[in-house]
Amino acid sequence: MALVYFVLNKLGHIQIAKISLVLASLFFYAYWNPLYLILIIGSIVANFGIGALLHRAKRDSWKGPVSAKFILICGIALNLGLLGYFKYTDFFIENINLLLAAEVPALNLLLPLAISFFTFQQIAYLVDCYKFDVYEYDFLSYCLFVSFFPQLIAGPIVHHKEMMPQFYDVKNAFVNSANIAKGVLIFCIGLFKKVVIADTFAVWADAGFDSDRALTFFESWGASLSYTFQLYYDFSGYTDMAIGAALIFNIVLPLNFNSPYKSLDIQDFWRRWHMTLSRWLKDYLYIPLGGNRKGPYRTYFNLLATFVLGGLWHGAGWTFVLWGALHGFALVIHRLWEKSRLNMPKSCAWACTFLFVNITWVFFRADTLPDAIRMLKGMVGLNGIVVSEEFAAVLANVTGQTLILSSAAGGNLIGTKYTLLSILVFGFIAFTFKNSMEMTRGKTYFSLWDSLRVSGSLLLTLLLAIASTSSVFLYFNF
Amino acid sequence: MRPIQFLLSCVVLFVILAGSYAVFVDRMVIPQEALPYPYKQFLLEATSSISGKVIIDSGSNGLHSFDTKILSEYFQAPVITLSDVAENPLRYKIYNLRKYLKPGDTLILPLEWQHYRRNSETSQRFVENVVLNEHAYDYYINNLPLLERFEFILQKLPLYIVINSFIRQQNGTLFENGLERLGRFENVLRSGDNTSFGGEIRDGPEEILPLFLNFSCDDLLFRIGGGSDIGEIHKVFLSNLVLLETLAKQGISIYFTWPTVVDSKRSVCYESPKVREGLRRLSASIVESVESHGFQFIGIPEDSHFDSSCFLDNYYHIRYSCAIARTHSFVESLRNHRVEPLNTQINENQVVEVIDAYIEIKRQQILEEKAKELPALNEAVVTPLDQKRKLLFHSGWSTVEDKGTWSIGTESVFQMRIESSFLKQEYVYLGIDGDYFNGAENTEVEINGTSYDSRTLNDQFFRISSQNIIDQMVLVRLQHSDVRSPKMLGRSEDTRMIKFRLRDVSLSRSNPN
Repeated sequence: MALVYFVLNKLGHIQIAKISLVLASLFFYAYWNPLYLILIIGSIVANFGIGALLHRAKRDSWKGPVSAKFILICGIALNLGLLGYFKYTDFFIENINLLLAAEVPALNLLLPLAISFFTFQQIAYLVDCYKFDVYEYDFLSYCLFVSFFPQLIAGPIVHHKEMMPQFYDVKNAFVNSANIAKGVLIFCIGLFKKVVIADTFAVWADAGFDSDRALTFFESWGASLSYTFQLYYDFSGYTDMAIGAALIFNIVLPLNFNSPYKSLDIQDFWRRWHMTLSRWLKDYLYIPLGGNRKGPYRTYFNLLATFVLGGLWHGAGWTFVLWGALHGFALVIHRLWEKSRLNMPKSCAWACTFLFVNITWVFFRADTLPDAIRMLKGMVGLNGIVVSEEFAAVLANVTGQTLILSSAAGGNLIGTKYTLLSILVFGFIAFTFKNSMEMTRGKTYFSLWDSLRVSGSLLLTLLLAIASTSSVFLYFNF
Repeated sequence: MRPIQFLLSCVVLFVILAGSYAVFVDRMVIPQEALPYPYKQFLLEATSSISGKVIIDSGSNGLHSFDTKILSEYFQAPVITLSDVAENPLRYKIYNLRKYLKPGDTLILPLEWQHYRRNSETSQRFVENVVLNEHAYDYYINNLPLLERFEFILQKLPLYIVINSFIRQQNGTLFENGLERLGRFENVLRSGDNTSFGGEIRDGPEEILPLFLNFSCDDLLFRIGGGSDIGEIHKVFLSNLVLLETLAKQGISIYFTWPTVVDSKRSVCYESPKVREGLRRLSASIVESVESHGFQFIGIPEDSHFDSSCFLDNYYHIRYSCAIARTHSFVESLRNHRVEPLNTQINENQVVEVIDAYIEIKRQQILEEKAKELPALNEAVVTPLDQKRKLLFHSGWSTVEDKGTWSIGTESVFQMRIESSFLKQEYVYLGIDGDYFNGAENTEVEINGTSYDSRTLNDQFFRISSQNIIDQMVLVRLQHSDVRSPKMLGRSEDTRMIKFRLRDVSLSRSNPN
């Protein structure tokens, strides 16, 4: 695709090159389900039209029947309506049935891919069209802004102000070998994170969270930590791949992860985790709600509301709502702590933050609230402290103590020495190593080690793909 | 490196890494086994010197449908069934046959329906059988050309299976002992029924295998998932036909015939009109393709379609009497198609002799290999715990038990290796200790060709001249008399012809007595 794009640009067909990129992006989107194509094209056309109307309505000469504000409200309602219909209808029906003892049948709608992402991007565009003097973009560039394939499926949630100038910049239309090299390197780091690390943790996390029986202490921790690292390496891996792929086209996507598990407090965590979502929630939800401008209690409420809705954005389920609420509460507590001017040693602060994040991921991953509670019970030892003989031998080596309390039943994967070793190794990397963006920032010269990383990642991906258990990126679901 | 150099180095390194990995797996993970795991493959290899034999190869319908004796009588030539399971790619089968078939041989292919369709994918069971599970199918890969071997390694062999196999090989937990394998083959060869030549025709429970319980006959045969579109001939089969032409050019006659299919009490094969219509089209296009490559197709699909009274355990397996009928009707079809007997003039006994000779050659090869791995022994006593590792049991022994190893039959032979420092002196003293079953406690002993007087092997020592020990090896041959099994004596159900139980073997620089 990159070859076609650059050749067309080189031949002077800049618009055709852009069209080819849009078509390729739409093909990429339609690959999962061609029916979705109607939805995304409809959404792009409608939002571009509403944006154009907003531009006109803001002019002094506007003599239309409705105000710009009304148009904006309609635009937002349309986007949220679409998102709500596809994502939350069944959740709503389920709760109505529960409350009223009714039997309204579920619609079982298939969630269109990436709807949460392109909805947010376009709402931001409409709001900015209303509030600021946004440049009126051409339709083709707007299509590219929404559909640009590297970020389409699972973010980062890009902002028109950071993307449009790049699409208009003529020098980005031509081959830049430094960007290609750097893009390939970042892409392969992401590929390795996803295919080798995240998918390995996925086996243990799934075995734990999908288990029919209540997990014991070590099994629960093995499963929850596996999921914690799976999610990080999966999502940051995808982001790296998106950033790398975009860079090949000379497009710089915003940073989305900045070693979140190094965070020393929960606010810090949200400045490092899914940064573009945090930015969106802050700019288009928290600040419009009043931010911290209306007194402390309103600030706490705004924080809670933002995070409850942020949780709901991730999925239609009470587990997501609770996960968001817990993070909202944590942010409120963090504010209170800051006000109290109390101090905590850095290591304690880091441990508290990481443990809190790890525990709340249980709600994020569990299918139901009772499942999450069952996992948490296991993590505090209420389901017994049982270890496999193999795992006990490892612990005995490390601690010098024989820790076999009784023999673990079944040959499940959780709690084996490989789980422990992987958690230690990849946890250590996540806690201490530079992240992919730090490693590649300002890089213009490359080492043989870089080449080895690229070729090794590609080969490992090829070999692991042979036995692929069809793992999809976790954030495709949101 | 500058960006362009970096990108080029990535490509070069990728090729180097992928190539190194492929070579590593080819050499270290897919070993060249001295003996194949399946008996039928062993038969193919053992009889490869015979020109003018008949081989039947396909999926399991080929196992349950043909009586090799009846076919042998018609062809006046040895007939071997090589068929295994339908999911094994036909392409690999052809390369395997290409290595062992000789000009003048005949190949009969009662291919199953999926062989005509997409048959290039390898199932998980197949790849696990290549590098795990006793390397049951390693020969399929070893007999591929280099590039196809690399393609298999890089595109079809999952990494976790490679790692698993490598670890298990290092731990030595993967292989059946080569000698045990030969013993197994000898037992099958001497069984005297149709399994001696690879067939598996038999009567059975008339119950569908649980694996196939949820499939109708047409679902299983054509993988149509409850639909009626049985599909078309696949390009993979067409490329296999081209490969088969290379066999024909080597002077091998190739005949196709239809697979045996059988109704069950709950499902009838080729039942719906749409399936029958699809089958008519598919079979016509198969025959056309096969004949366009110069091969003959014997019979029509209905010839090999049986009713539920013939059902054995799945829709491709028929009962013994039906297999006999199927073989007779196939012979009739061969006659009608003017397929001439081969008149090889080799009878069954002569084939067995050829196989026996091959077994002996293989046995010697394995023993030589194993002897090289024997640890050099010093003055320590070899107890039953060490026997498996420190002694090489050639023949005439049962499995090693906690209290020792029983001899089987009238002659028992074992080998050991002596540390070179022992051989600096004139004599070495070898101690043998054990006990006997049912009296006659007298054993004739021969060590490295030198006979010793007959005696009771109870803490006995033998003086061996160092000059008589070549390459540090000592070969001990024990002759037993009045050998009987516990069952013969009415003492237990044990049928082993046991006599002497070898407990300890020891070495000494001086005469302990």
